[in-house]
Amino acid sequence: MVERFAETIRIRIPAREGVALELCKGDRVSVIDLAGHQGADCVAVTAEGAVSCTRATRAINRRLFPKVGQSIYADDNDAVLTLLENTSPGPHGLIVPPCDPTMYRLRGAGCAHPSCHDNFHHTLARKGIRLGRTPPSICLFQNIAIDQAGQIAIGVNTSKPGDRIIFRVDRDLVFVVSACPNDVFKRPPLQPTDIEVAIDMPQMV
Amino acid sequence: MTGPALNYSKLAPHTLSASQTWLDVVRAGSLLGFKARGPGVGAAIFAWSYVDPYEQLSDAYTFMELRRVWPAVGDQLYTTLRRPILSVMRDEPGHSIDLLRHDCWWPRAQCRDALVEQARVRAIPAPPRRDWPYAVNIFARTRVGDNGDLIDEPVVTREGIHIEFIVKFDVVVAVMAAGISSPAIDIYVTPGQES
Repeated sequence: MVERFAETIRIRIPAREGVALELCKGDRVSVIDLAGHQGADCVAVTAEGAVSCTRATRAINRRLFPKVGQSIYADDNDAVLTLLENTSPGPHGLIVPPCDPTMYRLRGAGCAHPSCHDNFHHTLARKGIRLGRTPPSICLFQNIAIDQAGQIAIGVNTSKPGDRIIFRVDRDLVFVVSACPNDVFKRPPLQPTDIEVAIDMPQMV
Repeated sequence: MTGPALNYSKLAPHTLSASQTWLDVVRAGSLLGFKARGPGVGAAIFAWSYVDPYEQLSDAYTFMELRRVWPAVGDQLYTTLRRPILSVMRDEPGHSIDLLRHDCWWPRAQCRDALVEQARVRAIPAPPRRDWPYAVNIFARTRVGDNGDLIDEPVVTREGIHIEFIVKFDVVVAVMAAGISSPAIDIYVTPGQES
């Protein structure tokens, strides 16, 4: 069956900033790395208050990151997003937390540095959502690998300009995307770049 | 710090049979130990700050700081505020502190329901159900396959082997012993010099 979408909305997220988008079950959302090598940290909060959960997702899929057809799960163990397509050559991450003021302070960049942590909380607050703690993020385009000895390596993101990852939205939710502000660790380009989000809304029958 | 929950005389060794729970305040500098009573033993453990139950032992922050998925002796486990909460002092089976899969021994909801009630009855500070932490599992190991699959790898345990931590600040520790017919596990707390 061919799915038909009535409308596509495109939102450009400036580097270092975040947006919170209200999505409906059945929508299709694409996260696009416009310039390449950029990361996008994401969190989903459902209408019932469940929050996307890296631990539940790893445990249910028995994988570090879902394959196409598998889902991201919330902390109530129900799916929130299902992976439909991934054109990025590299992996994505469900292992480490979002960058936060403490990380930047400890790495000498000062705690006023923009962060995915702050982007999550500030954008959710504008939607009237307050989280008691910061959920580990869905780190799209993050080049993270674990070797046989259990060592975690985080390298330069390998995504190319225009690479995208597409999810089906499985529940009504607020989807936060942060164009990761991390410019502390060496990686080309050293400056963060914009992310685009495209939302396809299904045709009403 | 003072408070009704900080009664260290209660911290005598406890033996948990399969599926039994334990929850108490453990003071900074204390040694927190687990001793297997036989093969197949295990436990799900949770820890959070006594003064701020939202500051919790975290897989993600530990991974970030360690850059390694299997903590080893000498490593520290971290909280959601990137602060060391436990130091690994002894891990006799080796690589048997599992942060990759929270549900090795129990579903989260089952632990949470039992332990939230225990905390409430004893007036020990604990996170609300919604913000309940995810378990770190001991005497458990998950291997990462080449394709990113997570693979259970049994930990060979026998009677008398230990896993021990030093607690870095005043914390609440909650434990649920593995299985329904697994051997028992001993929990012991030895106060540190500053206690």
